[in-house]
Amino acid sequence: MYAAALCAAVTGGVGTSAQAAEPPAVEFIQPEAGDAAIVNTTGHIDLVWAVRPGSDGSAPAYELEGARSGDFAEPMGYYSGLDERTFLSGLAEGAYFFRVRALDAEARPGEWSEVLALEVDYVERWQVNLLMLVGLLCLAATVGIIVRGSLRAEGSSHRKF
Amino acid sequence: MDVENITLSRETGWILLAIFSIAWVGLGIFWGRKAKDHEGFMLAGRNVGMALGAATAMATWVTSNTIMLAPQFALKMGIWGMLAYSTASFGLFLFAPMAFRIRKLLPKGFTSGDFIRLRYGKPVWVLFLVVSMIYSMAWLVSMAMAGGIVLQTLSGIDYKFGMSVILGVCVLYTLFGGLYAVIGTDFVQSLIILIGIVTVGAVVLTKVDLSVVYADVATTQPALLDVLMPVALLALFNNMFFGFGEIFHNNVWWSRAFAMRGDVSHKAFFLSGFLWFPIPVAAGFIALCAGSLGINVTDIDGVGPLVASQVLGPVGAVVVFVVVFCSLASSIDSLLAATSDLLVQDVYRKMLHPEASEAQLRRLGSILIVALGLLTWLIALPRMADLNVVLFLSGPLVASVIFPVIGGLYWEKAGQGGAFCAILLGSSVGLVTYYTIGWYAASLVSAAISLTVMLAALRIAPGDFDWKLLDESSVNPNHPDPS
Amino acid sequence: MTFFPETFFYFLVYGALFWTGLGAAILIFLLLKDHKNKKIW
Repeated sequence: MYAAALCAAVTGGVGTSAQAAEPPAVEFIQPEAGDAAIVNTTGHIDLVWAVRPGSDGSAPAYELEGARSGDFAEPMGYYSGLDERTFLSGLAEGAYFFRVRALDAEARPGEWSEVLALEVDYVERWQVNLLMLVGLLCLAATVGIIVRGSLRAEGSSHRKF
Repeated sequence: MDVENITLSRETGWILLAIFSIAWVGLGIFWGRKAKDHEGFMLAGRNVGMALGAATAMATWVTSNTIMLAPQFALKMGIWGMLAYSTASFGLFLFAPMAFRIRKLLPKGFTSGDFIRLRYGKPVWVLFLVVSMIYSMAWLVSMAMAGGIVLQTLSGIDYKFGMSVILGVCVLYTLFGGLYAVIGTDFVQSLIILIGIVTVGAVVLTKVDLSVVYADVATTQPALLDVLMPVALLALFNNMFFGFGEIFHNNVWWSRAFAMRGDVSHKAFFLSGFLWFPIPVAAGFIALCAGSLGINVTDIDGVGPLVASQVLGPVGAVVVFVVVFCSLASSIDSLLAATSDLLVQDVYRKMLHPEASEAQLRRLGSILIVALGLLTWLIALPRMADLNVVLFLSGPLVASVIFPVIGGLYWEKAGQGGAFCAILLGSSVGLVTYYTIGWYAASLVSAAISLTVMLAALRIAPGDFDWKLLDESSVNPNHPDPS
Repeated sequence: MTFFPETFFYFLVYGALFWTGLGAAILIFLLLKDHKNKKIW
């Protein structure tokens, strides 16, 4: 997606040697990838990743990919660049899988990281509906009191209140 | 793609700060000369016109939160997020008829506390003052902190210095100029805020194609376009009632109602709501364009300034800096003035020294402005992260006062007992709700409980209030007549 | 999930910007009017 600009950015800064090194391994540091899916109730999340400690490789670029299925059958590119974090939002309900990898000076990709599984599960609908109902009633009461009170007061304003 | 440096140089930051400080304090001194007595100082002669009236109400309700949070709401909660934020203007709309009623009932009134004391008696008044002071201090401190933080983010100026300068400038021009200075600077600030927002938004529109933005968001951030997005709808009415509670009870708004000319008050508030309404969308939508602009959002708190400066370069950072400064100052000055008034009038004059002279009141008012500024400074200095919680906790407190206030204005049958219980019960249940169910329900629950209690009290223990008791000029022959 | 339509999105953004700018114009107009009638404050 950002390949052309990416190549330019990467090759600009990093010194190249004749021997091409493997791009370093990367892992998610926030949240950490584990066995269980991480439950998210808001649809937005900060993702932070970094080169795995112990791997060699200098100033790589990264590629973040996400999919709705664990096999990454229909992957979507979420980020590509030099940053080591991004803020994702507007995720619909359901399962998400993310993985990130490093790109070296020639934009060759390294190994994908461990997959981060996310389960986006919003607050129950009935809670939302209940709060909306209470809200509407209170709003009706507020507007009603003020409007009716104002009209009544105006109507009797030729008398002293 | 790498994030360009969004900061201004420290020198630019200091220069901007210096320019505004000198200008605002100068204006404070200049306009302060109009105040001939303490009533002039507190209520700008009760003669403020439509233009200044509408501008001050709008500008005071635009805080740095509005500028910084609107893009966050857009990015976290999409279209409904922005629209939900816009409903904060409803409080201004609804206060318009209330302002009319308030002027009618209390022609010589000074503060919201005056009304509560005369309407419901001392016990409710004390409860009201506690709620109001907690909220006002929370708002003041959060504004001071926001100032220091934004200044540091945008220009690297150390938090403690930046916060101190902003607070110090506001204290100075409020001290010299009273409500004249507050309202006058608010007009300038309102224009800067509106023009700044339009400028940034318009430039963003020249750099993106909205149909591409829409398509991008639909692909990678689909929930943001959801007509029934649960996350946004969940807090819709809660935030609305937090806003109602803030505006209906606080002396910041009541003092403006008293300060404006009689025929202008309600119209100015209505217009201010109209002016405020589009701001969350106009300021917020730029965050939705981040993806299309190739901007990676690494820190949600700074998304607004980030997009502005990416699109407009250093000019964008200057615009954000200036708009944020104006939105902060317009709120801090109002809080200082109105809270000092509340304490001078309600506590000192009405409770302790009814025979106090003009000079004494004026001097005390000045001392209190400085004291409030100092107290705010001390609390904001250590930059405690969880101080924002105090502001959110004040939501259920202020929401519990909504129905006692409007019941008090329009229902002669509303009585002391009902009001007292409504505030106490609403606040307590609201606070419990905050910690058990969630922040998104606390203010709404508080308002609902308070309403129920007020309605029940109408049945169980109805009063019969004589509205004439609110007109202090007829009740108290010692009340000075300014005309 | 039902989306807000694209035209609504256009209308919202352009409308909000126009409305905000209009607000500034209204305030300036009102100030001049008040000044003419000597009713600023």
